[in-house]
Amino acid sequence: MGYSSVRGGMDAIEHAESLIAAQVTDSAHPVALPQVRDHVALLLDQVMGEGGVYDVDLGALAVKQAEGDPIEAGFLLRAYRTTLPRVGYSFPSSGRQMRILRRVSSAFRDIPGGQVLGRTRDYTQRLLDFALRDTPPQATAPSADLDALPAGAAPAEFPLVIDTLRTDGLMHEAPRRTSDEEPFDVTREPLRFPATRAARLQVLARGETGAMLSLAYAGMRGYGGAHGYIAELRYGDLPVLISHPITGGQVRIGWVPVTECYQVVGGDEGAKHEHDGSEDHVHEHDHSPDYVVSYGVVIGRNERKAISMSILDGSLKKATKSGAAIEDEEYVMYHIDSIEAMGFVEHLKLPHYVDFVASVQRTSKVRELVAAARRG
Amino acid sequence: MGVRALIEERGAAFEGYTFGFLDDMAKREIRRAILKGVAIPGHQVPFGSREMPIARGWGTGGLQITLACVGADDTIKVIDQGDDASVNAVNLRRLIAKTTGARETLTTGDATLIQTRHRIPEERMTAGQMLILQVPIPEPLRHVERSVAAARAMHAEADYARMWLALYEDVVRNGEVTAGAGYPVMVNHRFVMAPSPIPRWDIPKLDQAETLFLFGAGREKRIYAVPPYTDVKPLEFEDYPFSIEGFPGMSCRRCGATDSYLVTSPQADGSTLSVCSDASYCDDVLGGRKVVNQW
Amino acid sequence: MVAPLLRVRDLNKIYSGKGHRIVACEDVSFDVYPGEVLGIVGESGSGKSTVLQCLFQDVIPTSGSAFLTSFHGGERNMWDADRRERRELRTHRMSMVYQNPRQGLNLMVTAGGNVAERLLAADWRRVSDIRAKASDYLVRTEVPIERMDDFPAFFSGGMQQRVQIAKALANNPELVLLDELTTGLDVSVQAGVLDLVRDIQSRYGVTAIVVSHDLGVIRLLADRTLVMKDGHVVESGLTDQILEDPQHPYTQLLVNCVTN
Repeated sequence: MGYSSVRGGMDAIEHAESLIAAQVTDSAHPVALPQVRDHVALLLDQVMGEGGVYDVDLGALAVKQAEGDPIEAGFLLRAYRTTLPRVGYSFPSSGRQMRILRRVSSAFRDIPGGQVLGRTRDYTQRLLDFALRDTPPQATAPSADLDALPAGAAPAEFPLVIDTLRTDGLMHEAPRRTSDEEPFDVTREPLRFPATRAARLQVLARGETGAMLSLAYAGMRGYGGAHGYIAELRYGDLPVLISHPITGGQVRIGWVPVTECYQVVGGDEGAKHEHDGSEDHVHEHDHSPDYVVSYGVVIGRNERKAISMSILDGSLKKATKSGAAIEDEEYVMYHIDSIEAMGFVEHLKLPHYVDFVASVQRTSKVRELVAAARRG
Repeated sequence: MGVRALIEERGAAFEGYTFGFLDDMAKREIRRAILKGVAIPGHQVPFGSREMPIARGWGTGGLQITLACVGADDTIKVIDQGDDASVNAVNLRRLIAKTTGARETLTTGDATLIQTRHRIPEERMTAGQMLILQVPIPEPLRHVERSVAAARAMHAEADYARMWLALYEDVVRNGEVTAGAGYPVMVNHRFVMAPSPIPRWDIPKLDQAETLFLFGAGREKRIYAVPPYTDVKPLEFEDYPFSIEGFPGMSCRRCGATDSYLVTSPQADGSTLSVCSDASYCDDVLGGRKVVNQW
Repeated sequence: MVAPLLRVRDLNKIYSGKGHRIVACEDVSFDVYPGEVLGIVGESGSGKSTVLQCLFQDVIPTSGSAFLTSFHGGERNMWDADRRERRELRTHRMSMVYQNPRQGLNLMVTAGGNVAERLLAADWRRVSDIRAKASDYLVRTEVPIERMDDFPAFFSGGMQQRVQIAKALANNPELVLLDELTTGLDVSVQAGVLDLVRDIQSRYGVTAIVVSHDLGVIRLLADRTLVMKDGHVVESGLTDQILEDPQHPYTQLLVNCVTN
């Protein structure tokens, strides 16, 4: 044992590392980061969302380095993010400030500002396009920004559909913060239950798409979900506003693309909801609302996760629980983080020789006791 | 050697990282949690566990404690199941060394800081040393109360009837308390604690030890401690006393030791290969060095 | 005159929400003396179970006070207890037998284990002693001893109720609360369980509060009785007196229903 076997372990690790490195780089068709950015954009969005960093270049690097494994790539981003200092906090951005690229409502046909179908695969036929097999002889410059809205069509601000419901008295006024302290940060503070609303939304926003999809689906099939309507599903850019270090005024330093989902849950289900449930909000009215909103927001284009998030937000907000797992804050918040889950599940690959000996000795002892009892 | 000099000497290794990978605020928070843990032996202190470049469940809790405590003058040792050569131990050790410049050792007695998974060394550790245990599930009540919030309340009230009930049921059904690795212990007559999945063999070492034990659970975001000279007793019934593993008639195939925890592997010829799980101890016996293994 | 074991004064439990207010019980006051069985009778919704739930602190009262002689010398309102004191009250001083055994028993734990839990909470640490004591309680409640290590999930309703009573007796609580203990049982089983409780009570002098909608149960078990209607105590006195000479029209109605 001693030094030589340790050297052996080190050699094995280094060899594994070089095998991975070779897989990532050695090829007649190496992937360049712009290709990831331009053509694997949905995976990139998912990775940035779950990694909790919006940075297209870093995200593309993570995707390339992880050979396209979204959980591994998100993990790389998070491990990098944690080393970054916090320069400051942005002001809250409202969905009303979004530069809209897509916007649909399944609750109303005509919504103020109009529906914008935008870029979606929803109504395409899922037929393999064999024409894509052939690499174009040479790269083409991207045609004009396909996402851009026709000039003059977009007003500066899109109202939210739920504003209409509020105007009609069908929903509470938006909660107002009583104070504007630093938000709770789930990457710096341990979760406590019941969690604050900020903590809950952060965990959901960083949750893994697949895990959230299956929990939300279970909810819709009857395991604790609330049936709602999508008042609005939207995709676009939200401004990042910070306080100017000298003047103190609000300045925009950039845009972040997000998908937002507003579900409204009404009738009996709505009445069962405890409005908002958080501590740092006050409400102007105390009348019983007919609809409550369940909210989802995700970095980049990821409607699947935004809708799932709004379903989980709704189930967690229920005041009267049916006992289903997805109404349980601890259950949902601890188990949708697949980067943590991945680590723990895969740690079973580590040696457990010591524990296994301990287990075998216990089992043998119990077997002896049982055998002795049989003999009387 | 000062940190500055170290960074200059081993500059390349530090490129892109701060000393010890974690930023100073993180280290400060972890040290505060450790101090609180030492002040309240066995109590799980929540902390803002950082995302590490190692997967959750692979020692991120222990690693954060190590990185928050290690100084330039420290000598570190990392073992996994007692073995310095286990690939995960190697990987953790090279990360710690790379980001701190700390000296590495394979010898228990030479280390000031030992990070471990699932074992306490055979050699008795002394007052100048610290043992940092990686913890998968810090909550000993998890199998009787899965809600984190409810379990916290049970600890606050020292309400352990359901824990004892689980042990009673175990005895009724199996004639024994069947817990193998990770046997629950009572710390300082106050908190029931998960000792991490160390074998029963190592449990008595926690009691009235000279050394400081720190426990880190990264994924579950908890730190706790057993300070030196603290009473740590396994939960046991008077008529079903706790007992440790035994290896009657067996010895280490490599060094011949009969007084160490052995790991066994079945061989193709039907025999069983047993060797010391503690590599450092095995080397000592093999090299004829006398070490104290009575804790 | 013996001092009461428990004094309850002006107990109110009001459920209020947006635009509604439900009075579960209002200004309920009574005493319980050592060794006696107090009955509370009334129809469903009369507030009788609420009184019991408040005493066991499954439900927190809106206002009122309750003094148990052994709790801070009868000086401290039980309903001001902190979490730890509340648990102590529930595990050492009082016990509750619920109408639904699922509420009172852990069905995933053996019958013996259910009884043992209260002993373990009282720091019993010798398995042989715990088993001897638990079997003693199970024998008292006529649970066959060979079923001690079986799970109550597979027991009949009557047997589950006996295990629950054994559990409630474990660790000799000062006050046992029994909520509709025979309501969920077949008529044929009801008589057996009632006889058992009466027998245990007379033999061991347990102090208890028995809540039932059934005047027959009250007649059999209670020394004194409160009659409740719409959250209020409308009449109280010795059980025999109430049955023979009911004063309040509602009590008269109840008694007539039984005798006719």
